[in-house]
Amino acid sequence: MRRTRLIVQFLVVSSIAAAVVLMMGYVLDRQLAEDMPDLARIRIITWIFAGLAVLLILSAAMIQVRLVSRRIERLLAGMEEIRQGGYPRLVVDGKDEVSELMRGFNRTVEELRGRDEKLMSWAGKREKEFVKLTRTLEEEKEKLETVLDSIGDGVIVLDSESKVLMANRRVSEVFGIPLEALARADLTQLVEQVRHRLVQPDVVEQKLQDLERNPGVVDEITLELDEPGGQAIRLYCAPVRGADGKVLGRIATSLDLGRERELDRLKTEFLSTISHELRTPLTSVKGALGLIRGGAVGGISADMRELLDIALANTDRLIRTISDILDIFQLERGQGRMRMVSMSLLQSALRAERVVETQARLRKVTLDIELPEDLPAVKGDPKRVEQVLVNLLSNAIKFSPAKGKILVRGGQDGPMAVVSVQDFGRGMSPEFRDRLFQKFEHAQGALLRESQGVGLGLAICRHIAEGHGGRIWAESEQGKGSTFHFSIPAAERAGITPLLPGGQREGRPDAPRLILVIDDDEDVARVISYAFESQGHRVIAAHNGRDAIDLAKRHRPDMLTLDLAMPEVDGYTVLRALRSNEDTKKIPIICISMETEPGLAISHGADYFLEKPLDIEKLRDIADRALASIG
Amino acid sequence: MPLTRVLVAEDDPDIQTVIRLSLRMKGVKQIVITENGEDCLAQVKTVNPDVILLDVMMPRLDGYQTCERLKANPETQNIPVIFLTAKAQQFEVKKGMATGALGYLTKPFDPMTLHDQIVTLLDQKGTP
Repeated sequence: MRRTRLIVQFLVVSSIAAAVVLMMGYVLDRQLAEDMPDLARIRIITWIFAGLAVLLILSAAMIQVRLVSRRIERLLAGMEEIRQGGYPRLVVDGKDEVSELMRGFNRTVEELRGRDEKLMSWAGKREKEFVKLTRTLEEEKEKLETVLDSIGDGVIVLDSESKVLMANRRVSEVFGIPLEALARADLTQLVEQVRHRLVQPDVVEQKLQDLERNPGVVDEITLELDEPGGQAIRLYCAPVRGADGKVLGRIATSLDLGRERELDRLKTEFLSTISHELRTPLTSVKGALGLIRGGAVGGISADMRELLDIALANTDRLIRTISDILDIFQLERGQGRMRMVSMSLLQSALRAERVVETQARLRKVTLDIELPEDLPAVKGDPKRVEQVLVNLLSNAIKFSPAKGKILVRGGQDGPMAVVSVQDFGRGMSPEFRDRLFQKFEHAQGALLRESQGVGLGLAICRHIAEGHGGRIWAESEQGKGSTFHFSIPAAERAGITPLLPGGQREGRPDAPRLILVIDDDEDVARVISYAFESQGHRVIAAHNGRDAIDLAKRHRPDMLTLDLAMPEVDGYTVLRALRSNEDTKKIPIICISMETEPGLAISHGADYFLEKPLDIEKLRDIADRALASIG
Repeated sequence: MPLTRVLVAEDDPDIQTVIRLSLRMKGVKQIVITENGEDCLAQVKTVNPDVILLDVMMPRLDGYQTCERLKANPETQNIPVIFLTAKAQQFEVKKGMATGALGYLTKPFDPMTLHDQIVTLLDQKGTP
């Protein structure tokens, strides 16, 4: 449509108006020409028609402006409607600029409506998706919370500024902060809450600060609580990393040590009760059978004795099994503390032999124990070492054929002393031998018969051997027998060490003697005692003068060693007392003292004198002489 | 020389029999057996034993408490006390010894050597 410009409209109208006015002017002029002089006539006409012309032109202008502004009003109204959210359609006629504007406006509104509809539709779809996503997130969050809450330990996730992102119920319980408050807390606040309950709050704070400075570190802090029952919380902190490896935050799990310790305590109590319940009736069994066997209630025949021996041997085995069970639990937890002293393997072997005597006799198995003279003393817990040897001997007897022999030999291997127990039984298959020292190797099927009775014992032996810094291992050939080796570190040569002097045969003494060792220093007494025990003698010890005299009178030892410097009743007094008593005056006495004047001791009745610090070899020499002298 | 008078606190009647027979066999003249700590305390002065043998697990007053009371009383504190019990884990032994006992014998015991074991304990610790 060809636009008609406003200005053209205006000009047209004005021209027409001007033409009309001019024509009217002319007409009027002709009419007035007859009546009026020219000048006056021109003046009137000019004024009138000028005035008219002005009026007309003004009116034309006004009308046109009016038309425009009305349409502009409509436009403005339309715009307002848009603003209100509508899509107005203006009624348009005409062809001028304003009409074009209005048509343009209408088209724009249409365009707008189209876009809006598209947008709404898109938004609608997004919203549906959003709702679905939100619901899924909610569900996942709930699942996560359920899982976290069902974990018995606390779990906290912190962001890179140590603010709590997530925490489970257990954390709330442990720290005593309600869950809602946890969501807004940061780590410092959490620790504040428990600060007053901590035994060492400063140490903990320091540790936490270290962690803050090094968020990438995996570490643990133990918060010891000042509460009864050994309450403690252990926090394990680890970093949470993003896909790029950057540390996003940290996760900490808290472990209630109090519970763990409580469980441990309950387990110990339970074991103690079980052990007690099993041992008590066994006491009566062993007691009753032992009394009958010992002839306490009358004579018994050889057959009765044999049956009683069987019953007693197996009762003892049962008792050992119960002890083993307790042992294995304690050793595994590192509670089976061993008191290491310098000790003799031979002595242990002999004691072990006594323990399994009956068992050996029943199976008609002989024990041949021979350890070299220069086998050094070892550093060990005598009870435990004996336990290992009893185990090895007991197994050897079990696997020996009737009338068989068991060899016990020893040797030195570098810093270790080694004892070997060899049986000539049916031996073990390689598979069985490899699994031998594990707990409960009562294997399946074919191995079952092989393994009867081996159960816990060897596992315990392994613990003990390793606890001593030694080893235990086995060699075997099926059909020919097995040899079990037990190695244990030799005691260091330090000061007084009961090493055997050369030329002295260690073995069963022909005449084991009873020796009374008197010294107020228990350690010294122990060392001297071992020195004699390793020769096969029996030793009793006294740690003060009164006991010494009493024991000497009561037991009448073959010989005694006496420390002269003792508190209260001193050595010289003891010496005199012993020499003046009928029962004891003939006993050879070796006096030991730091003084260098042997004369005094001898004049008081000592037979021999030794200086401290003791030279064990000298002591033994003198002792041998003393014992030989009594025949 | 055997012990002359022994006072025992042990609640299991079978074990009571075993102890009595065992000690009598070795020549102990007077063996008094009570079945709980309270009765044991009541009899101490009358019996005036050479040694008191205490079980740990007993009704009314247990072994530990009985020993504590014995040691707290100047009239009885010098009588040696030996625990004879199945409760023989390390911490239990420590607990027992801490109450002032002389020694600890574990159950089950060999009835033929019970007397000698007691004597050895008494000797080693040097009781007058």
